[in-house]
Amino acid sequence: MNTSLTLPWHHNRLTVTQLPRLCLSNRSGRLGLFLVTLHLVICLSAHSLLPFGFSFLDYASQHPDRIFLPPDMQHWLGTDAMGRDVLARTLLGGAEAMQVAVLATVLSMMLGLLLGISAGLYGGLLDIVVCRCTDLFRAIPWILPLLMVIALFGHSLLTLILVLGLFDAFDIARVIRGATRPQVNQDYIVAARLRGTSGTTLITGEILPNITGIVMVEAAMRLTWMLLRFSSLSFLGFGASPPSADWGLMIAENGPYIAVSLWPALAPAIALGSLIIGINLLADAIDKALPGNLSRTVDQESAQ
Amino acid sequence: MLRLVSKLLLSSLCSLLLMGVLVFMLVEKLPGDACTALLAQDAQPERIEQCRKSLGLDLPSSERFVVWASNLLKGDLGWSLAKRRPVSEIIWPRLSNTLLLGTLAALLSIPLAIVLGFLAGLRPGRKSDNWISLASIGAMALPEFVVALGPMYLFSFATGWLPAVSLLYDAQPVSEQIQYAILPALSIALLVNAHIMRTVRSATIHVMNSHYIQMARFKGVTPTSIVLRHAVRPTLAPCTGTLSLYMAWIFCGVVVVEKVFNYPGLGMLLVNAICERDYPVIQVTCMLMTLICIACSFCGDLCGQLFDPRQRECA
Repeated sequence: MNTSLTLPWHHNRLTVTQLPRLCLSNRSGRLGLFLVTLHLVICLSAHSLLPFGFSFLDYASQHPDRIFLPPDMQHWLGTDAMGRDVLARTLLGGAEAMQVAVLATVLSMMLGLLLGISAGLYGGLLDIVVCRCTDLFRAIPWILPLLMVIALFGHSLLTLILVLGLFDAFDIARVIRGATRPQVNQDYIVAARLRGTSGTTLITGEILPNITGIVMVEAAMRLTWMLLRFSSLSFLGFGASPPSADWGLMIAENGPYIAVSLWPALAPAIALGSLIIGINLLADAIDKALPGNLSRTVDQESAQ
Repeated sequence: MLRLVSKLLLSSLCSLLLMGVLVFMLVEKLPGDACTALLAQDAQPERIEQCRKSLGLDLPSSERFVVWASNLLKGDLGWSLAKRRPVSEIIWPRLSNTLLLGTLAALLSIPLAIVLGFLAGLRPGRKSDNWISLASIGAMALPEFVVALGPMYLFSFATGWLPAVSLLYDAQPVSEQIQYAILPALSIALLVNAHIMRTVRSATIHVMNSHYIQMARFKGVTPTSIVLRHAVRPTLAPCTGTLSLYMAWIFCGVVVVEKVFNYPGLGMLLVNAICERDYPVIQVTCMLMTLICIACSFCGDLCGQLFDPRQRECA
């Protein structure tokens, strides 16, 4: 009788230790890993390596006005509208966005996982509530509720992390629910239930390890969206506050002057774009390395 | 059919009501009210009480919600605190600007995106597909304000064909407004194109690999006929839902693009109102945008269920 039980996780299960091998297994994965590592190294070390700070003004320069200097030996990418070094600001500009994006992603993924797995596993009222809430939130562009909350509670980083995280939770829950549903009727879940496994163990010990792949791809996608959203908010003036260096803010400050000097707006745009492309390539590499049925589930969910 | 429409309409109204309650409640939760804002800081408590009574602020919030909502429905949108003018005077020109921009962007993007996505999906892995996919990944990886700077640089700074920022004023003839709307519409079209192309592409691949297309091939149906008669409808019908979401985004989610070009649409109104803490304007703008979004998704659901019987069975 035991032989008829299917043990599915040999095919689908993905552990964190497998990640580097998966990422290095194809060319786009290697490129993605390189880009993301590069950004992390820069983010952690730029403070100690750079000769200028993000708000350093070069009073010793021979040029009297100092603003919009073209690239030279002293300022490799020139200076911006306030006379600050563009390269230094670009290298330092990702830290805040990355912090907010990572924290918001972690928050939204945790909530989304909890809601999604419970909805998929138990069904019933919770399932209906999750689906209806997703429908409502999906119908409205993300920036609208976000601006509403910012209007009321201001735009401290903590508020931004909470709102960005909470807003995405239902959407993630929908995807995770879609991934959980096919698992629920599998024999190993039935067996675990018959053994009398508690709800928590069922979620963390049985279902979660079997949907790790989807969870990682989803988390990577959300991370890129969070980065884009935080940069957009900075651009609108609701994210990072002016003296600090942030990519969105830099583009907002220097964008109107691209006819005068291209680099102050182009450098942060390249930095942000390369980070997001890197994360996307990594997600693609993981997605490709997954067993086909799993990745297709993700694709269908996102297409609907 | 009638049952379908009424069911969808009911759920849309529920969503709208829910959003209305949320918008109302959020502003209610703020410390202070109109009277503490209007009167001096050291005003006597009796004066404040009197003022609250005269403005009807002493009623319970449920009653005030009903009053607020019925006023909105009657077209009385309240007064702007910052501009000292009726909100309706401020909001209608902005709405028409947004509608002009959105319509232009939709016309520029959606037909092209559907055709390109369909072509890419018909021959996955070919050169044309790779180029289309690369372009859409590029547009999706860059933030909206960077994508918007591209057309701005190309058509405004480099060539001088179009104005880079909007100088719209109220009651300007549409023929003059259009020149300011072209560049923002083009930027929005670039962004939306990328997403719609990807959706249509994956739907096309899914349909072209299905059994009935294979069956048609075996029967010797010509490739043109397979594409036009057998593949188009099952590909596009499931996409209507996604399309309606992007339509909602085109009309209400383009705050950032409006900011780049300083285009006076609803989004910029909302951003400026937030900066000025002008809560009546924030409330009304949010409700209006929510209404547009829910109307878009209503149309999308309706079209989806009309053209795609499979969705009807699920619902």
